[in-house]
Amino acid sequence: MRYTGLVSLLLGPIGLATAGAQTVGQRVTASDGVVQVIYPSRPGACGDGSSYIGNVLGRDRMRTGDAVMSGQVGWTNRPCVRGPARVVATVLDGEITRLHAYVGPAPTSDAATRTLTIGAAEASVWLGELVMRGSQRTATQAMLPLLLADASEPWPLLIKVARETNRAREVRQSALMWLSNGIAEHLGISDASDADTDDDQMRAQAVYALTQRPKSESVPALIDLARTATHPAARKAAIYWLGQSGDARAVDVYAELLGLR
Amino acid sequence: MNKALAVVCGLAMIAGTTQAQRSRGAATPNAFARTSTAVEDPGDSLYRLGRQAVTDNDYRRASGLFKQVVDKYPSSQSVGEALYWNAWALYHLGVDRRRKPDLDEALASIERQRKAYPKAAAADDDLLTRIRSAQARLGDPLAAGDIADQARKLEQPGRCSGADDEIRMAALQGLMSMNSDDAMPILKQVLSQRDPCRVQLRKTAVYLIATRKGDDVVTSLLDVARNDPSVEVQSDAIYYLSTTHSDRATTALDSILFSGHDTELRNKAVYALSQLKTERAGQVLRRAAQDDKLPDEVRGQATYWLGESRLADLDFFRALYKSTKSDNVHGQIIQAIVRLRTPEATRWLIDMAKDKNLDAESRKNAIYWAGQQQVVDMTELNSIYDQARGDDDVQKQVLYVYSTRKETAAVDKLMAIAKSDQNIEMRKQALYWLGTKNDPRVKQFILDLIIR
Repeated sequence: MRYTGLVSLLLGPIGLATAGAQTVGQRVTASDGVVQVIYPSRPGACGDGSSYIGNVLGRDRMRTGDAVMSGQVGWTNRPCVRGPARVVATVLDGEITRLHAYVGPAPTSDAATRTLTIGAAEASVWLGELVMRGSQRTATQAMLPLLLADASEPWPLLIKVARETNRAREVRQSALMWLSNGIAEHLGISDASDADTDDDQMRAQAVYALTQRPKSESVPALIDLARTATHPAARKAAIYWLGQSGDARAVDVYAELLGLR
Repeated sequence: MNKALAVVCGLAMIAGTTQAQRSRGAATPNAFARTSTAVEDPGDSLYRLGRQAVTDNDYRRASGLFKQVVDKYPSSQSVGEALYWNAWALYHLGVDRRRKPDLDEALASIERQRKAYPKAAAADDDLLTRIRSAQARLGDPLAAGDIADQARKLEQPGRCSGADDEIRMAALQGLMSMNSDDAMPILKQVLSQRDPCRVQLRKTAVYLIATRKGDDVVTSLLDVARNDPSVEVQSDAIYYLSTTHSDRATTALDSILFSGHDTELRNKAVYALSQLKTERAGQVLRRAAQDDKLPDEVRGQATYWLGESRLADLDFFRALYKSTKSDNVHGQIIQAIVRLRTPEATRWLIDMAKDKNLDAESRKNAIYWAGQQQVVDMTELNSIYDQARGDDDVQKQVLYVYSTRKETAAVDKLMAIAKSDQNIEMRKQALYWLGTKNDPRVKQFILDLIIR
């Protein structure tokens, strides 16, 4: 685990330009329009450069980019190509209004699109700053590209966001969602499937049924399962649903499972 | 009692607040909200105390304070308002205690205000009308004459004005108590003024006509139901036709239902017929429910009200179910049958739920309504579930019904299904519904499934 790089982000102002130099953030928002920022992706990450990302926090493929809107057929069958991470940012009135993340070969961009190629550490600092201080939408959308960077693990920062009660619920929920995936990877259960056997399916459904119970009953049970369940799929589901419960104890358990306490 | 006085009595009976009075009343709690008053004006201080007394419903004290403003500080800028509120306080005292001297004094105060301070913020005709009504009610013939004159003005078309119409409506209400030959022509005249701005006035007239008796009542209501340009007024007339309990009304409603073009009015006719609760009205509604030329919504309404008003029996609904293809009517039939609450109706619902020749939606509907009405016992529900094997949607509906049942047996059944049903989808669904049950055994059952 490489937590050290994010220490500066958590401890104080970051990304400030030295005299005469601009931060990535300043370069991105220097003019309105579309900017793509290319940086090294974490080991194993792959994608088709336009519609999905694979091999990040497990073998599952995540739809991204235009595929979400256009529902492209057959994207799961395209080859998953190793390549850099690419964030496409839309800048309006000097503010980032939208972020899309991709991995793999970058398609030819039009002349109006600016391109910045930066290091993974720089990307991590810039995206971490967006997660910490960006608007609800930007902060939420910056989480995936942050964890794509081949840089420090983002979990301490996401734990911090999840604990910030003054942040929008959507931002904290999103942080908890990524954290639950990160924990699953940390525990080696990312690829635990609930679809292998009927019993596995029932276990996953049982964990969900548990979330329908009163919180006084469900949260302690989910915490216990997140810590000790022997069936990987059930444990993975318990970790996820614990985060979605909205209960403050979830963040402490997450930190504990990541070895951050 | 002369006619004019009767009008006034009716008017006074209203005792409702007009728009102007409502807005003034709303202002009373904040008696200190006036602005731009000189600090040195002692009359204004007294005026504010008076307003506070009004807010506290201490009308006698309020009147005393307002009189002091007028008598001791005639140059105060609050005199005009004080005269108005003095009249208001005295009016309340007069009405509450039936004291004519208070009303006379109230009238003097408001008339003085209108003459000397016509532009005062608190100037309107409404309070004057109300004072005159109250005086008339206590036997003042001159006041009664004034109010009667206002009622007669209704016969003349006038400009559209909300304030005027408030007074006109009050006068219309006064007519209600006249019970004289004069009333009907005035009401008819009002109904003939079909401007869009007189909808409220005509609605009041329709109501007042409906409270009277006689053949011309049905004729007038029919005319409105057919010809008034406002659907709102027409709807009222259709409803009140049902309160006349006349055979002509049934004929008219039949005609509106089958010959009209407006679905909303047809639905109103359906409702009005259902309220008649006569065999003939039932016949009309049954015909409507069966008529596939009528809009689906109207047929559905007819079916609904046939069930609600008990104007059709199980045999009729069963036959209707077979003869119609409308999902809406099917749904209404099931609800109507549920409301019958007879063993035969319950049996029919169960048979329907089990009938594999029926579409899944109808079966689910039957199960849902049966479950809601608690008319099917657990044994029957289990039997429906078992016989529906292979029909996932139907079985899932039964699982939902289990989740709504209070019996322990429902939780037992959900647990049994979650544990060992041959269909994994049913097991998962049963488990989901178990999660919502308030039964102390559920938590351990769920945990056992996870850790086994």
